[in-house]
Amino acid sequence: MPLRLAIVLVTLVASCTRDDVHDRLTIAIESVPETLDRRMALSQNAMRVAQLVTPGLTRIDEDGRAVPDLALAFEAVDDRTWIFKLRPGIFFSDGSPLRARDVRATFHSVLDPALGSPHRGGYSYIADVEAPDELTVVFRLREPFGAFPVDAGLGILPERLTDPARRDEVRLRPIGAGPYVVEHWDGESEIRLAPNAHYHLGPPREALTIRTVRDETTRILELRKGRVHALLGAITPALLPGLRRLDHLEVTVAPGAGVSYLLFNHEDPILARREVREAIALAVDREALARHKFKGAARVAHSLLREGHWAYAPDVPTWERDLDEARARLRQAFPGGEPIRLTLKTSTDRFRRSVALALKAQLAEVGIDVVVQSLEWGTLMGDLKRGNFQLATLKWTPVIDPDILRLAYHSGSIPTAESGWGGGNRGRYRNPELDAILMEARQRSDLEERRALYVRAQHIVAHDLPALPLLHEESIGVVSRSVRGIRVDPQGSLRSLAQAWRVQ
Amino acid sequence: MNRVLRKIASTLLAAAGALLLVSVFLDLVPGDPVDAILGEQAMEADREALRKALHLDRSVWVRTAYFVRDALGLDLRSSVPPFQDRVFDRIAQAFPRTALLALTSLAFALTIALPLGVAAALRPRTVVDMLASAFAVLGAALPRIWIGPLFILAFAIHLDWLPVSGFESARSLVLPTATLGLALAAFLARMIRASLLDTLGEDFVRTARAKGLHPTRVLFLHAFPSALLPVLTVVGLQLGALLGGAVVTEKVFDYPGMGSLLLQAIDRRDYNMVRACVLAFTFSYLLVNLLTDLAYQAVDPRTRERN
Amino acid sequence: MSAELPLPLTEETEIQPRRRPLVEGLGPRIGLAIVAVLVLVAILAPWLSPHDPRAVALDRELLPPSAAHPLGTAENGVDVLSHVLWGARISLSVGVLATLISAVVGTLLGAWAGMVGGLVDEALMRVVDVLLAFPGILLAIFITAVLGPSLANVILALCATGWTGYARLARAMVLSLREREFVLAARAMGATEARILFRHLLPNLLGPVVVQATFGIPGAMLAEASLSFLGLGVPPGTPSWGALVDQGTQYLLVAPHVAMAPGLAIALSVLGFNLLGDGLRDRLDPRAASPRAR
Repeated sequence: MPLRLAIVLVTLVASCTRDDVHDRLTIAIESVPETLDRRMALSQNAMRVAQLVTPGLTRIDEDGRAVPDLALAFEAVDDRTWIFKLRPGIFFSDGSPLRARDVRATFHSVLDPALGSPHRGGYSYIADVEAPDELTVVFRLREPFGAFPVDAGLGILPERLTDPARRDEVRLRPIGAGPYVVEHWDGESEIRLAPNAHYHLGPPREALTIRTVRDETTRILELRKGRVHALLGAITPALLPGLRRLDHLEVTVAPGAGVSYLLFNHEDPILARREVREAIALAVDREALARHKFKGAARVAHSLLREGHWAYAPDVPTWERDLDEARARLRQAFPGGEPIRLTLKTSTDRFRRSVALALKAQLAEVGIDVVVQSLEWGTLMGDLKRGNFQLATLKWTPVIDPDILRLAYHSGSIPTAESGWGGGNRGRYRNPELDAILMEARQRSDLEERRALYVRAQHIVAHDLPALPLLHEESIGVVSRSVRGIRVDPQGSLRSLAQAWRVQ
Repeated sequence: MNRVLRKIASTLLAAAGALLLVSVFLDLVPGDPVDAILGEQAMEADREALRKALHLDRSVWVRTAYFVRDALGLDLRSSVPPFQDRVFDRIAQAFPRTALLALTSLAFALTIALPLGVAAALRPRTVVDMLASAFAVLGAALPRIWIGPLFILAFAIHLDWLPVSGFESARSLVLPTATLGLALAAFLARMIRASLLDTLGEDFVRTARAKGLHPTRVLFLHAFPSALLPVLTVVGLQLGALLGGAVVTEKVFDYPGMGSLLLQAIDRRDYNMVRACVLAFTFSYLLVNLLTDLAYQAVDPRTRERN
Repeated sequence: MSAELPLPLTEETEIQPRRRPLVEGLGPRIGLAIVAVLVLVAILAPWLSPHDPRAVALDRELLPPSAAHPLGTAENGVDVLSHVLWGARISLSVGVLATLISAVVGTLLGAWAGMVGGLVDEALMRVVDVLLAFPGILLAIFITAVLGPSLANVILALCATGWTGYARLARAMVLSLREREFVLAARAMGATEARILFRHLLPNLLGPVVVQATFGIPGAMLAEASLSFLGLGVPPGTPSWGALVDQGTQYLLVAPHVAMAPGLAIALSVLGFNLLGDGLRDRLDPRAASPRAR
């Protein structure tokens, strides 16, 4: 008798949870966020989810510009002082009003060694944060930094929660002024969010469940089954034609903020020759990659910045495919016709591997023999940082501020033992003229001045080919037709979920 | 008693060996964990702080010692920022799920393997035997990475009977159990057939038969207990292997057990979590084997004499 | 030569029954036929394949079967049939080499430990314990991560745990054989330990080891598929069955034909080796041939 009771109970509970799950708007992501505390978050997914609960003073719009979010407006009074005015009438999800000192306390806590935020170094250029009145925040910087509005997007917590002693609590249950409030999360794969009744743009219509499903095939099968309503990003483009055939799913391809590139090691004797790099640029058929590998969900890249970005240089050299010209450049570099053999390193991601194999086939057409090696992520990065490679395919994402050019190509960004192998110039490209332009552009706060400098930088880069930009990869979203109102965001933001609703 | 103590001692020794092995390997794996953890755009100050926090400036032995200290103090934290995950809590969550999956798979396998194996052994070299063997061999032949998604497609999508993935209700267990249990069923069916055939040829069974005992009685009272002994050992070994070997199946079905925890820890380069997972696998494997060993001894008088 | 005279002829005849065909019965014969076809395909792959298994044609990606591509195309327009035919070569080599190395290393180590006993034996058995208890997948991840991805390292990763089974088997058999009359006789005649091991003990181990190895090959082939699934398989572009099944499961919804052929190829060869192993066991394994010999 007790046994049967237990069985019945178990069955009941099981069926309840099942219906419960069925009745919520659900999206799937590919990895479990390590925290929902934006101050501590490192992974893209942790930041995306944290933003839904704790937005910041600014957010990134679709052109990659920082625009006011919780702030009403901001300006640089001089090159080291930024003033932010808060939007009046904003409340945290616990009902308390957003005040300037909450902002000050949040930034102070990130800078406090006791919290142990991994972003402390990244914000160390902030000398002080002041809150002269309830709605005004003043940031004083140690050095000029034009992209500060992007960094000002840090998620704001109520002052009482910013105490480092409460970080374990904030990790699982942060409170913020965003559209959602954390309903349940125990650090595992399912995060349940409820509408924040105090949200200043009006609470979302639906509660939201964010599930982690690690395997892509399984993610898509869940979507197919209807237990997951949307996948935003992390979809292999090769699946697009098949997904488009399914009636109950809608595939959306929107401009993305990621750019893939072919990295050259400039300390390699073969690749140090500009003619070889040019030959490779002329031999790679990026048009074919975009059409066949990405099924149209990518555009040929001529710069790290995409067309439409505020700092994009419209008339840089484009390196259209020309096999004869490529062979000619190779003959220039190696008049003896020595065979050229290069190793191309890539990650273990299945799609990246197949793209690398396609590149190999294209380069073989001009007589460059490429060996593709796929390495586990940590190993790959270790090799690239130490210069232990010839060619590599990688992706910058998200490309928001053009200061990324400094990270990618400035000689100060070359990873070395002294710098602890930090820095993004893994190709070890050195160009003093470019260095000077990039440093100057970083310190200007006027957008027009910065743009002019970055246009010059992009011209140098397109001529000199420190790396070959391959494709601007679009953001892909697959959404069930029973859900309306979801927009696919270039930076992968999940904000539009707050406007989504389901129809029957 | 002495023997049990020795067994326990060798268990601890093997666990220590596994811990050293994993620590040394973690040290050998090329690439800086700081890169993998902090990503591309990290600042040098953050990298240095993390390197200190992970004791990466110390030797592999010191790091292992730190791990042991924290583990014994029961305050082991994950070794990636925000350093907040309590390792034991995560294992306490994941381990019972993998154990559950292992047990259901074993039950599933035995449910199929026992009747098949017995039928085949009782009618050797007949159609029954052939069919049973054919199943046994086929079951072991299908790659899990293919059959798992095919099961999902058939039973979760087209027939719409079961969930695709996750761990929500008892129904979530069905497909991973079938995927994991199929090969095991095949293996055990062959094992049972061989073992029972062996026993049926032994003197004591023949004697029992000659005495005119009912065949069913002979089968269940005499042949069965003796034939199941070697099977028991294999079941023990397989259960241990199942606990550790469900990595692929757990990934296909997104089952939140130890395999998923381990893969995630490797992805994140969460060294403490990897070490703790290995220890959990090792201990469970050794424990199951110890129990099998003891059970074997209790059942089979011959082993007692021999030792 | 004289030292070999007291070789236990009686023992040998007892262990190895009258001369009969290597495999008997329908099952083992089918198994032998499958394995033979597999080996033939592996050898003849270059002549049987309609296309180069690495040829890329981006505009022909994931096409269903057609006259030009009887089994359709996979990622990057690779011909599935050619990939599967060449895959026999790679997958068979991985399976056979991993098993062969495991068997040789394991048997020698196990037999040696069983002969010498004492500290060596104790140490080896502890190492075996650790490796058996260590999650095999993790060991494979570590090995490919430390040594880099290559076909050789995939084989090495499979051997890392594979040898322990043979070591246990060989040790147990040596322990039971070393007090037998023919060993005692050889020792009495002044044969060195090494000679006893190689001339008298190992030949007796051969049968059971071969049987176990026959089951080991399909095991290694399945494990290769699992490694591919975790991104640790053969280098990109290498036509192995595991790699193609892994690729195919990714496209199960849009192009189910990709996983079908290699999946069936793996299943068929596992089937073949298992059936063959059953036959060999009846024939070669003394423990199975005469149950009362224990």
